Amino acid sequence: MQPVLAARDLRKVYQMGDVRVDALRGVTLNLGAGELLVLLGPSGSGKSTLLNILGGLDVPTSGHVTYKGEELTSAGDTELTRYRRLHVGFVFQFYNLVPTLTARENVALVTDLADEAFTPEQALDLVGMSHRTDHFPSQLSGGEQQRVAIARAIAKRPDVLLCDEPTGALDAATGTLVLGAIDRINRELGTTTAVITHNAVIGSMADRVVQLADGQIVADRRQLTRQAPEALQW
Amino acid sequence: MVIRALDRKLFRDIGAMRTQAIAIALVAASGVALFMATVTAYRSLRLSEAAYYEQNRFAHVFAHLARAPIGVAREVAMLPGVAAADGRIVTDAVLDVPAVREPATGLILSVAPRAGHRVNGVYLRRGRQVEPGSPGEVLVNEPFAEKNGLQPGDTIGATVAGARIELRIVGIALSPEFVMQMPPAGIAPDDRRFGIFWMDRDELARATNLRDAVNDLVVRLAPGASEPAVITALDQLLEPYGGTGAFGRDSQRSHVELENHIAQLQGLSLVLPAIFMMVAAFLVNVVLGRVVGTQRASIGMLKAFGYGNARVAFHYASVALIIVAVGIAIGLPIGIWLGRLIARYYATFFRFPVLVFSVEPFVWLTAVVVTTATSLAGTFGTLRAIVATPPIVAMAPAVPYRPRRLDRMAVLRVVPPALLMIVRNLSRRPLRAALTTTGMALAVAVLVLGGSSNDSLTRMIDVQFQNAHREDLSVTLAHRQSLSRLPDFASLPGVRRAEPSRVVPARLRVRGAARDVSLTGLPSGHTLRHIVNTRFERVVTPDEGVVVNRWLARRLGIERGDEVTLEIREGQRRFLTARVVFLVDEPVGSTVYIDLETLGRLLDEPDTFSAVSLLIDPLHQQEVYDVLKRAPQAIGVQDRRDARANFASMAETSMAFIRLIEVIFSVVIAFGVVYNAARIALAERSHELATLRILGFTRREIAGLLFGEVGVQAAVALPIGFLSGYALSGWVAASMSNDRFRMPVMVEPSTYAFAALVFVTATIGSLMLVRRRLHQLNLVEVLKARE
Repeated sequence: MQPVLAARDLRKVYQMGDVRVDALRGVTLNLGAGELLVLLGPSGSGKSTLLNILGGLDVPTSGHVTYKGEELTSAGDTELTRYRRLHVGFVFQFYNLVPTLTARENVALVTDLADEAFTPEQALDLVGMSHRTDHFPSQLSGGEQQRVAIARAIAKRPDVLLCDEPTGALDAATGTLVLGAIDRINRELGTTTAVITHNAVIGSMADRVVQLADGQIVADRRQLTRQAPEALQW
Repeated sequence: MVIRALDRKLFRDIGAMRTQAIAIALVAASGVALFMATVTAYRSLRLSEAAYYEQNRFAHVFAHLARAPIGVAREVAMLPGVAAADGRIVTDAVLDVPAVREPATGLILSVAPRAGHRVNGVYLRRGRQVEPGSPGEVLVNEPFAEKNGLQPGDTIGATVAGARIELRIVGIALSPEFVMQMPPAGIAPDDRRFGIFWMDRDELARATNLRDAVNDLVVRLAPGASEPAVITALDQLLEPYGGTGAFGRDSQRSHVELENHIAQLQGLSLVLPAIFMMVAAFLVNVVLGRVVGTQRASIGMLKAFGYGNARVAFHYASVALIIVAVGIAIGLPIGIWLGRLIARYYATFFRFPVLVFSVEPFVWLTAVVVTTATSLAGTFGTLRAIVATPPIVAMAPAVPYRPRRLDRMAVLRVVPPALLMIVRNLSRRPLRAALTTTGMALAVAVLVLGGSSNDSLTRMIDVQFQNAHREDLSVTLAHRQSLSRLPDFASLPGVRRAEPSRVVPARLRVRGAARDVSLTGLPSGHTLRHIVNTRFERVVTPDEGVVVNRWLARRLGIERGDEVTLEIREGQRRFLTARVVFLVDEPVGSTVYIDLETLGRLLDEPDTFSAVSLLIDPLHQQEVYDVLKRAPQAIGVQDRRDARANFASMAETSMAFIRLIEVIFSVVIAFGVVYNAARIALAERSHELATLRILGFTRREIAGLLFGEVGVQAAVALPIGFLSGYALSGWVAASMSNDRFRMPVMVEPSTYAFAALVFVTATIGSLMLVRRRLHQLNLVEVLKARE
């Protein structure tokens, strides 16, 4: 089966003045359709750089990324914007909701861009937020804000959902709720999902766990069973 | 030390927002430059005018009379409050200038033999003084000589008191009495067709049959003397000699015209810089607010460490001071340079023999103090917020959006979220939005103001030279004539229609107040001379009663239906009473209209006229000119089209420069306000916009979101700017109105369109500059950063 996203020998070098940082040193990785992948690694291991490149926010110094067989590495800003707009959903560590829009309006901002999107209400229902649609971010807790952010990310029915430390700013109980929402999206919609975290426990809910250290993949294991997010403890 | 380190950080912050700082400094510089330019130019004109008047001993009081013995001047000089008095002969002349097709007119004044003038000295530019006993020798005033290519040695023909004489030019001169050469019946200076000549006293006395007599007096007052008292004494003294009423400089035509121009400059030196300074203060305020916003945590920390409010506030006020200081440093020299340019331009226009230009300390001190003070006033709000913020609050993140009741309205469901973002962002900081909108509106207002002065003048010209005056030529006669002489004009070859009128100098009196007016009798059924208001509406002269100018009526408290007294100031000095039948908004002059026949009856001089309006067949124009050039009874001839062109060109010359400055500086304001508004919005929302970019919004879409905010403000500012521009025009028009002119407040659609075009172009231009920065948004940063 053709992978949804395929990365071949990705290298990324940041030159900051005299300092050279090798963020990725030859990463090769395939993301299969419907797969839930957890990328584990300590700070500076290169997982965010990898996610940025997969999401079309950054380009590698060398190597290739293809989305459903189409080359992303040579794409310009317009194509990358189009790629993100139609195929990728992002979830951020700090939610990044628009403070002047309600939950529903935040989601509507994205559904207006897509053709076959959920309605904002449907998307909020999927993450269990249908009772808070008319609240502004400032009126929501961190976990609620993150669930709205997930609803915003999946409302346009993306093929790929990329989550960068989605529970990083949350306590365990709230984090569990957020992970539950991601798990449900992956199962029910079959959205290919990659979650970045430095929290190894979260790996248990994935189909596959990839471990990064120092810009290289040091472990890549498949799991036969996925644990329910509610069962996770940290 | 912490403050020193923070100072360094502050300078770096200013460095980081240098484009914005430059934009603000430029607006402040514009304010300072404009203020310096207009005020120094204005002061320079005032000083040059005063120097000119003083050096040439310009009279304070003037009096015309029929005839008085030459010794009357000595009697006048003895009156209390009089420092010096000169008696002289002044006579009208119809000129035959080879270069001018149509008849030109002039004034010939006597110059005293040898001793020269005690009052109203003549400033010789070229050639020599006239020699006593040399018939026909004259000095001619410079503008007329230049316009007609006259040189010492040239000769022109003139009809004086019904006789033809030759004028031999021996010198070119200037006089403070004729800075502006106003023809007797004209409303604008006419350098080509109206000349001033000075001739030896005895020679002129011979030509005018005024041997050992004078018909004009000019008087200089002693310091501290009361002008009204001298005028009263003079009127009593001259009554038996046919005095027509003495008057001060405020009724002297050249002086009044000159004052109008200078007053216009004075008006501009207040309004425009005030606007620029307001905008600069606002921009400094907004940017400082932004800096403080980003420094909240540092402020909290400083205060937690125990630094006092004053110390912290001063620290941030210094940002404003630095930016303003740069603005002042740029603005002062440019302003002085521009001021000198404007002063020189006007001095040439007025032909001041000397130009006094100095930058008086109070002028630049005012610029520095006012600019600094308004900018600091602008930062005051922000500084107060700093002082009021407890350390713990300052260190916490900024307050998030607080929903309002309006946000719950069901109708909002159909509003696109992008639009909601724009509106809610604006409503989050209503004061700033209001200030930004005000700044933009002011830019529009200045543009409207600039255009409206032109519109008002055009309207005035249209009313005066197209609707009120419909004749081809108007001829002023030396003396009143019997109507039986009208055919002398009506039957000239090529004259299609001739309409008589009678103009009598009079003093309008009502309830103790008085005003000099020209009482004008128009024949019933007149078609060549209409009484028209500024909306082109016509008033017909009633059979009984008079029509009074509304401006005059308001000054004297006259209402329609009131009875007024008219003191006739020629002939038998009758007192007439008449009822005011209509009030009319005439833009020019202080004229009281009456039926010609009624006037004749009241004056006991039935069937007379003193002026005639002619409609001419263009084919015979030159023939009519030729006859009038030699007509002894005609002392003034005015071609309506020439007068119109003349008036328009003078207005154009004196306004063009100011108008250009207005447009340039409005663009600076619009640019400064819009650019800063957009930059601040970008800085505050770059996180949000980058997030949207990650979510798949295109650059164009986020530019739309960002600029939508500015666009909404600009859209609101435009009509407000139109309205305030109109109001400003009204204010300027009112401040420039006087007995001779009332500027109608006019703003044509084309002026609004031009203002909108310039403003929108400046807006789009500055947004384009900001747009480049949108491309540099760091998307990756956003994934990790907390806002």
